[in-house]
Amino acid sequence: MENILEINGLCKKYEGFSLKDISFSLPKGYIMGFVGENGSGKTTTIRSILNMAKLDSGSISVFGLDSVTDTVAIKQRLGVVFDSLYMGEHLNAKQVERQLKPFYENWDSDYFAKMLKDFGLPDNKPVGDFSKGMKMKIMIAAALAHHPELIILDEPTSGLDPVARDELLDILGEFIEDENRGVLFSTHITADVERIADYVTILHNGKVWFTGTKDDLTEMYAILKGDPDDIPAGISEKLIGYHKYRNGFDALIPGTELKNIPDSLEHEKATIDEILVYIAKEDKKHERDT
Amino acid sequence: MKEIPKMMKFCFHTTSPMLSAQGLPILMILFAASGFFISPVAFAVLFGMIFMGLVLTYGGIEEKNFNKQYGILPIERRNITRGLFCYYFAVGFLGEICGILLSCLSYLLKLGRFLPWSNEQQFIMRDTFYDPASLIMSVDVSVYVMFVSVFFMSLFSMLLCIFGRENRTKIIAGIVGTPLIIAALFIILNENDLIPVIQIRSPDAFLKPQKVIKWIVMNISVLGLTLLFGEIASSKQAAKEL
Repeated sequence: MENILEINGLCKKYEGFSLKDISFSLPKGYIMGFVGENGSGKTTTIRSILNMAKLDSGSISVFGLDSVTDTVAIKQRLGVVFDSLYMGEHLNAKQVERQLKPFYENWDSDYFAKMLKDFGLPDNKPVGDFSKGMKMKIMIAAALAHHPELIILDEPTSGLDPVARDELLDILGEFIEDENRGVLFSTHITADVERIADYVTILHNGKVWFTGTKDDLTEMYAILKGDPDDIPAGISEKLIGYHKYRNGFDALIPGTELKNIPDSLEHEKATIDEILVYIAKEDKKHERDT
Repeated sequence: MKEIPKMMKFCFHTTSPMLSAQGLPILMILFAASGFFISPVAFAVLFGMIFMGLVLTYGGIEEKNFNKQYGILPIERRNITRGLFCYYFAVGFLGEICGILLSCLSYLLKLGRFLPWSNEQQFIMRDTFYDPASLIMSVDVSVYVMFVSVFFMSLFSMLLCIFGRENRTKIIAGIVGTPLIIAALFIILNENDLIPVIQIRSPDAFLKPQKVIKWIVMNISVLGLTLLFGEIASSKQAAKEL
């Protein structure tokens, strides 16, 4: 499979935070959910892809082009949506188009107008006066108007109501019908990822904790519950986010360890949300221990 | 090079809607009417105002949220800054040209004669306004307004890029304060006879016959300075993260 996005060994250090050896790839024709708690490094990774942040080491390739030296060519074929409105708030949709159109070789005014109509966006009202959902839609319209091959969305669903979130996911679903396209979709709302993503990359504390298909992820981990006394020797160290209650315990366990688990312990499939929660719990445990 | 005009268009499309806001059109009509009926010098002031509207508002809007937009646009980082500085010059230069052309038109039409002038003093004033010297002065003012506006805006933007927006107040204080301090120093030295008096001819004395050359030299020099400041600013800006 040809990759539309490839990140290899990306390192970036800021005061109090660093991205460590980030590597993952997104094949053409798929949606990747880019998941992690707040401050895990999702936005910094996206800023690095867009050449807005300078890499300390590593490389990023988009459409097979280098993200630093070929940034202009990449951005001609890239659509980006941020979590907050990045356009001049005093401008209306028509004025936004006039502003952006000269930069894109493939800008399609008819398509932009069609999207405004489909999304029910007025073209004479300042975009700063739009609701949160409408702001997201105008950014989507601007991101799609030049027919990009890859869309990068940085937490687009945060603060959106369920209807607007659903509409956004539908738009992404339609966009990806062309198998030469790709979507990188950063969020901490994992229900969205469960619904539309084919691939998942989980960032935790500036490191890639998991990258692969969504199915692999949900098969790779399970939630284990039961009496702590039933945990076989050697398994305790492999449990993630172990939490003891008055009547038992629960923890995340790698799927490969399930064969060593006695029948007295229950296990069930873990959702992405649960996986994130157990990773965070494990972290807190380490902090307490140290 | 194609990217710089694109960036200039971007700046224009960002700021032009601001010209129709906040009662500015009424003020512009008043100044234009003054330019035609009272004194062509009003055009220089009008285009100075438009320059401020088109340039200063961009700074205000940009500061809020354009880093993300700059990060998305398919344009070299350095050309974003270069385009911005060229935009300053273009707006100033077009304002100057419009100011000169409208001054000439006003001079030719002499619409002021249709106003109900009532006494001798007002007649003298009207004749002064439509004296050729008044037209020359109007052109002069247009050129100076452009020179001063573009020079200080470019200088200010360059210093913002070098020292950062967080030092904006210090930079403004520096730009306003430095010439005042130098002037005060010279006055003190002069008053106390601490600097030798050199008899030189006033620049006007030898520039007068070549007004047009002076205007051209001012335009070229401000263009050169703007490009230089833009180049310095763009190299500083390109090294920063968005």
